[in-house]
Amino acid sequence: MNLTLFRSKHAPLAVLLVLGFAGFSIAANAPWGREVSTHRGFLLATGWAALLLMVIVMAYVLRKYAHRGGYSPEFRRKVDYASLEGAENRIKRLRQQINAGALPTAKEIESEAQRILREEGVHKVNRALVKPGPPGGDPFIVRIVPTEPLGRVARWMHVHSAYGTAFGFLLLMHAGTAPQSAFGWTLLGLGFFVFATGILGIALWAVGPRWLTRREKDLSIEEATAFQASLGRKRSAALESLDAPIARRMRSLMGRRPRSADDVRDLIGELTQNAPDQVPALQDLAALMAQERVVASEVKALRRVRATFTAWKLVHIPVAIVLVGLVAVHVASIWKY
Amino acid sequence: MTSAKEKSTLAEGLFALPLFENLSKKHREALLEFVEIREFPPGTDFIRQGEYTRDFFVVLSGIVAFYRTEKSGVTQVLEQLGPGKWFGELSAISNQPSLARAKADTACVLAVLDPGLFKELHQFSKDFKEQVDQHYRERSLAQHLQVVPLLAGLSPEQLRALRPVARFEHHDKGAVIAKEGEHAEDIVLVRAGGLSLTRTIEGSQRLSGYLMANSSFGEHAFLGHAELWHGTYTTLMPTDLLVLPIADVRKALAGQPDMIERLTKKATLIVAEDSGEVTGLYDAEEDRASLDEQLEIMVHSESIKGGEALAIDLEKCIRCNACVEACVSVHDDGVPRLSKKGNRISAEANALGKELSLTTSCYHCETPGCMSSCNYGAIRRDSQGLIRFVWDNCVGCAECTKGCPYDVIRLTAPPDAEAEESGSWLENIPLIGGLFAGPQRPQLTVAERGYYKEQEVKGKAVKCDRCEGLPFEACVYNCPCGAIERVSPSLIFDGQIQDDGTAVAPQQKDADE
Repeated sequence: MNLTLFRSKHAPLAVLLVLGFAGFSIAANAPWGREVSTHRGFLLATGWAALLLMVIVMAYVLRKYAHRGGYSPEFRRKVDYASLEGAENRIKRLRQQINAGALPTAKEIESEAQRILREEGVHKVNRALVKPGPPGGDPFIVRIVPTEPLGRVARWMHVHSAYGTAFGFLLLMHAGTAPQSAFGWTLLGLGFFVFATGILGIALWAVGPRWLTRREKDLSIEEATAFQASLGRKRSAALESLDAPIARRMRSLMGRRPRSADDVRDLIGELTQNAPDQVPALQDLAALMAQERVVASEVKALRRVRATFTAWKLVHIPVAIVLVGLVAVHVASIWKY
Repeated sequence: MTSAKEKSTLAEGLFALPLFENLSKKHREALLEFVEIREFPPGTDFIRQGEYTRDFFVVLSGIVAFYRTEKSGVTQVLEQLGPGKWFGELSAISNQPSLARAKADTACVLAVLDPGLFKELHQFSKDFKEQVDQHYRERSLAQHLQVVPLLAGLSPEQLRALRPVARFEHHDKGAVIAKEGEHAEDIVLVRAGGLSLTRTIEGSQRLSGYLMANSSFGEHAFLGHAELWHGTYTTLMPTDLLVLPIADVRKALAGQPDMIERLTKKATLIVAEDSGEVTGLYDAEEDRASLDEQLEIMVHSESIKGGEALAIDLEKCIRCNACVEACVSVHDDGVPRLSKKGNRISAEANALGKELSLTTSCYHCETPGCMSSCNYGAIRRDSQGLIRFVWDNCVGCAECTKGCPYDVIRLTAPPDAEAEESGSWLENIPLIGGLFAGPQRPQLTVAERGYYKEQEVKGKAVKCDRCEGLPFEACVYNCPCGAIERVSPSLIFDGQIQDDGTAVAPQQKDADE
């Protein structure tokens, strides 16, 4: 099971945030929901906090799609090959100096490596990692690794899931269980729909990969799809090698999609009565078709399993977009009136 | 660019050396244009033992010394080279990491030939090739022979006795070197390139393995006169071999019956090991650790050949394809360099206890078939051991795609086609779009710095470039589950990948525990 989402440092922070508001609600006897007259502060605090969390949660989406579309600011940092090569050559010389004992401490080495990267104009792209070398080997190992300025999407995902869950609870504290208008009910309903599908997504992401991995023990979905295509090509080639009349009959039979290998075998038996020289090619074809059917059913099953993992997103994402729009209207109207 | 005066001085010095004195006019010009002169102050270690370098060096002045540190930790001086001597041919030919550390004992000036230039001279200049091969036979051969399991452990003197009997052979792709069932009379060491081994199993030919540079076969032939080849060995690419005829080896060692007996015993053990018995041969005599054995299993299963692999933790991967989409998004041609299809390592078979899939992006092979196939110096290994394509030198001949056993290299469209596709939207209006088209883009030729500058570019070979020039590796950076990570093969067996995606070295893991 993939428990990394639960082990993230953002998970306890989100829990603390929710517990903080819940504790305050109990201590101050502030009821959840629309109690503007008596607990305006609590209402506003939960509202703004929920809005802030929603913005944080949306940042993940923004970062993901900005990168996919090539709009992410990191792309502007790209450096040319000549600069990389220049830095690489100088780092190579630095390693020689390290081996000669010119730079005895990791700190000095790191600062020198960073200076080289800066001078070659690649410091925004690469950074130096210095570690002690293995016994009997080089005194220090200098590795050049990407800077990854915005952090990996996986970390943003931790933020998204942790604060997205917290958002659900804050929304409940803000709106209560009985909103007094249709708009309120809509916001609450949509909010909890997004929350529930998100929780479902977290659960599926936690257990799904193992489930799928067990299911596709022999062939991954990528391999199975590639294998199916390859078998299709082989089948076409095998058909081409048959005499034209027999190939025509086989094609018409395949067009009718025989349900079992027996159907194909029967037909091949019948055809081979009239054309014994075609027997080996027909047997090859039968074997290919049988294998193709097995792989096709495997691909179908794997696709079904994968669709199960992704189906929740088909509702989570559009509903979340509608929710964001309505929240914007809600905030604007509160601000104005 | 070198000035005319400097060139003249350089020519005077270089062409006075026997190695270059008989070069053709064309090769002399190429040498003058592309040779690099490097100066090293005394005491500089400029090649580390185990470092990947494919450059060929000629000492113009000063003294270069070679130090080799053995597994036991003992360091010895192998030799010292003065002006006119050269080195680096073993790495340049066999793509192998350096066997020793090179140090400038005094202030040195070296002429450096890049792999493309060296390969050109070695392939087409007969006199250059003869001298380099003769030098290799005299200086490096004895050391290189130690990689043959049968000969490992022989003293340098004993290995030197075998030098005269060694025969160099070059074969093109598809040549049958040994045929199953025929008499085995030679021990063969692969210097460069690679072979496939097929065996007849239940009446049909089955692929049994690959032998890349530094692999050897035929040791069993040492056992007697009636030994047969156990399989058929066929070259997968242009391949250089070193052949030791058994009869000549026996003759060379005729005065040493003890040695003959020792080698016969060892050949028996090798044959037993090959048939699956555990003889303790490697443990006792080569101190081969279990990690190496596991790595060897991976090599044989084509999972990995060295360098770093891109591993997907299948218990985290939700198969969303974000990694491939990210790969597409960072390459202008829209061709993904990553294929998630790869070899699986079950949780039981690795130290991490995780179901892993090693993707076929680029294994940065120990012996890169692509590099051996490239005649244009467009593929090289950088100082970190990564295989890089030198865009300017690639002419799109597609030879590297044939040389790669893992099908990770793809050809992009020719530059002209790209230009057509990437025109402004006005150019794409039917019928009248041509009115808005700019001047026709000329057919690209290889940049001036490349050796083959006259060659017309037909396309470009691409493979995983680790998002060169960008501050991230797109697939690793964009995986929402943190399931994909660059991992050294040793970590798969002896290390750990943290939840944040970074790999922990074994020592650090122990300390953390």
